[in-house]
Amino acid sequence: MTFSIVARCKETGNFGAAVSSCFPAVGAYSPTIKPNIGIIASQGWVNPKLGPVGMTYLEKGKTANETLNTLLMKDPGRELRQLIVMDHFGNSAVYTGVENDDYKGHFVGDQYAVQGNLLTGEDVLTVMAETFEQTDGLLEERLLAALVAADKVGGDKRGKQAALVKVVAEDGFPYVDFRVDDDDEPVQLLAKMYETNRNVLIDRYYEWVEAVKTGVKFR
Amino acid sequence: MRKDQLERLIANSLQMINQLPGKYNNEYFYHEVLQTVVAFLPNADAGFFFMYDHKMGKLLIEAAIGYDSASYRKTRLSVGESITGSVYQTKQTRLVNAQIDVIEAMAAMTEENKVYYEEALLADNYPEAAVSFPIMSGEEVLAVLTINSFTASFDESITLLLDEIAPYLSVLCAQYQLKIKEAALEKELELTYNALRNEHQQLQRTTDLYNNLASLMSQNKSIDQMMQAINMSTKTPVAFYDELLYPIASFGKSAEHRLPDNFLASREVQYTLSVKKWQLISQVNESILVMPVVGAQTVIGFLCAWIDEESFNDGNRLLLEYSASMLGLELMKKRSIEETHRKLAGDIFEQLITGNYSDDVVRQAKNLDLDETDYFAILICEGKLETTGFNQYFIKDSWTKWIQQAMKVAGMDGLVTQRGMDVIAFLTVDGEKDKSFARNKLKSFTKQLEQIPFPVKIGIGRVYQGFVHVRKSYADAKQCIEMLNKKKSGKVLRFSDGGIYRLLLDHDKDELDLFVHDHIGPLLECKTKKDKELLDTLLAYVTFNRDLATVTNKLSIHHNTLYYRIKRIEESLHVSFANHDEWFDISVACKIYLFLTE
Repeated sequence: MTFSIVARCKETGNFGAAVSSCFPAVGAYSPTIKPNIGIIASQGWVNPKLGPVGMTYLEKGKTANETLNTLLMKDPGRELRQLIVMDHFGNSAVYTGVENDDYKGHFVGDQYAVQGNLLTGEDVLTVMAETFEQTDGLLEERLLAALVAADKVGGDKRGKQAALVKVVAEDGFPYVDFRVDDDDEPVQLLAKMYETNRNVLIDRYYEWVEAVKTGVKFR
Repeated sequence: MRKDQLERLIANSLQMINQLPGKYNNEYFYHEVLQTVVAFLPNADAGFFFMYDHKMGKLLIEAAIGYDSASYRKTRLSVGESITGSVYQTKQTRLVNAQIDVIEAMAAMTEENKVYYEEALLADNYPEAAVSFPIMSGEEVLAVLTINSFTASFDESITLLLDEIAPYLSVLCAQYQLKIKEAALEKELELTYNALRNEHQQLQRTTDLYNNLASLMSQNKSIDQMMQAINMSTKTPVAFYDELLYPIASFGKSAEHRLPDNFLASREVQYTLSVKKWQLISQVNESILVMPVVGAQTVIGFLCAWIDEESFNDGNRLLLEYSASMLGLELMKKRSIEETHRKLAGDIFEQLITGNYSDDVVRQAKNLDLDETDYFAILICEGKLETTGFNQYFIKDSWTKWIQQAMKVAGMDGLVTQRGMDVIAFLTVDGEKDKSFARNKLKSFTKQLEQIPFPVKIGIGRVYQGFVHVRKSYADAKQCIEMLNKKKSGKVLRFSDGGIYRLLLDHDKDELDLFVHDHIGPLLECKTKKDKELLDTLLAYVTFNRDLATVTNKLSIHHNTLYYRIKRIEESLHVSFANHDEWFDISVACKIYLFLTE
């Protein structure tokens, strides 16, 4: 009932994800992203605890594969879930449980991975991956472009309700974190939200972070 | 300043700068650089060390001398802003040598920066002079140093001095930045190395196990050896069970490593059967990792590993999953061969019992290691099948496996097959051995069979040499089953142990009843308890062949009582046990009575 993409920017090292689902407020459950550490993105029958727990393994230096294996061992409902773990290096390990509904699948690329279930077809994942690879620019814009493209070719078989795009840069300072919790066209609205508001925080993000850290007014 | 003074100053400055590499490990290195410059520059008493922040696009203060840090740290200069911003932009040294000029040059600052600067001033007023110079790295400005004097102006010639020392400072700052970068890269390298090593170890273990198992399979080695390899690779006690939980092989397992009583009915195993994926049965001490071994369509077995959840290497789960796949292939191969053997054995058996003793049959039998000159005995196992279809197959399969295992334990050669509702075994003994050897072997095997835990009857025919007599042994075995059914007790009967009962099978019940009544009828018609005692006494007297001690002991009576009862029996039946013929008739009648009533 969800399709998503996670990625690491080769230039900045930032981690980010974009998700669309026919599930209200999907952003409240997943993904978990920590700068310089990695991403845990769980979907299907989401287990929200996998994110914070998995992040502790990544923080200890475990690789994506090791973290995924450990998380699966401790999750009795593993066959109901899809799970991407991306580590510090941008390597991804992905698991698609057999009890997810078709079409389901995942694909691991260079510094990115896509996954989806209850999709209209395999092309949702293919288009999402291809669009990400072929789009230039900031990580958040590449993620959004991929999500929009996947949405256009069919996306979620059951319909649409929520979407998110999230990129982290500095720990504790939200960078890109836009969410649509309930809308008929969540992905389109998400893209619009991004375009409308990017200049508020995103374009002067580091200036804002520095201002907060040094205690000056941010104008 | 005179030229020689300037040269001396340059020499002294360089001498001071040469001390700076020793301070690379100091996290306040930029402050050290600034302090050194302030120290050798005549009249200098304050200054800033600015660096350009590429993410923000602004110049930020890395270090300062003679200012209040709480305020100056808030400063962010744009390119071109104030004295420092203009030096960053033009990449040229700039000297502002009068307070009024300094104030004017700084007037272009943003309101915020101006406030922060003024709040940072420790003196009452703006500095008397300022000199700002860039530290370059190739074509790029690495940093800008802006030095102030609050007491006097700078000598004009210091720009020459700064131009002279700036390249040295550039090298130092570049080296320091490389040091920081190197430290970060070393940390990253260590992280990468550890990650790569872990991944490599896992890959190597996977590859090793793959090669090991593939090699064992290609060499037709046993499942036992595969299990040993799995145990060595995962360092975990492992056991392989079939779908009925018959142990096929295990390694590293002790008596404590048992499956729970409700294993097949447990939620985890039911889920495993349903989705054909592994599950973990958590227990107090050791948990059991259950890997389904999947055949063509269904789960045909379980690979179980006893693990400590805390210390278990989760990568081993992948190895066990992979091992389960390989074991599945091997088990299917093994079963396929067994099935072919069983089918062939079944075909040959059909032909032999229908009397089709042709060269083709002999040749086919040879392919199954059955030699025409060997001794043969047929075993028939039959039982009540209360289920149908798939479950019936499993029940008969479990009988087959048990008999095969019993043959293995007793060292009995042969083949086991299924025929209709029965399980049939060809039991063979080398034809070069003596026939008594074959009989003895069959006798010990019969004892082994008596432990069979299923509600079945097993009949074993006589031992014959050569195929031609297999029919007879089969008929014997059938008769044994019939005897067992009539006796209603015992599970296993060898034809040669059938005694007189073999003969009795050929007579109908009425005829036998008549014989019994003709000889011991008066005792059977007795109504009182005392009369019943006489019948029990006679049956014991016959069974124990007139052994007084055994009979009295068995009946818990005094020998005088026995004498008295025997006398009464003889009187009732009008016979004398001293008469051989009469004793024989009475004995036979008792045997038939037991045969009919047991």
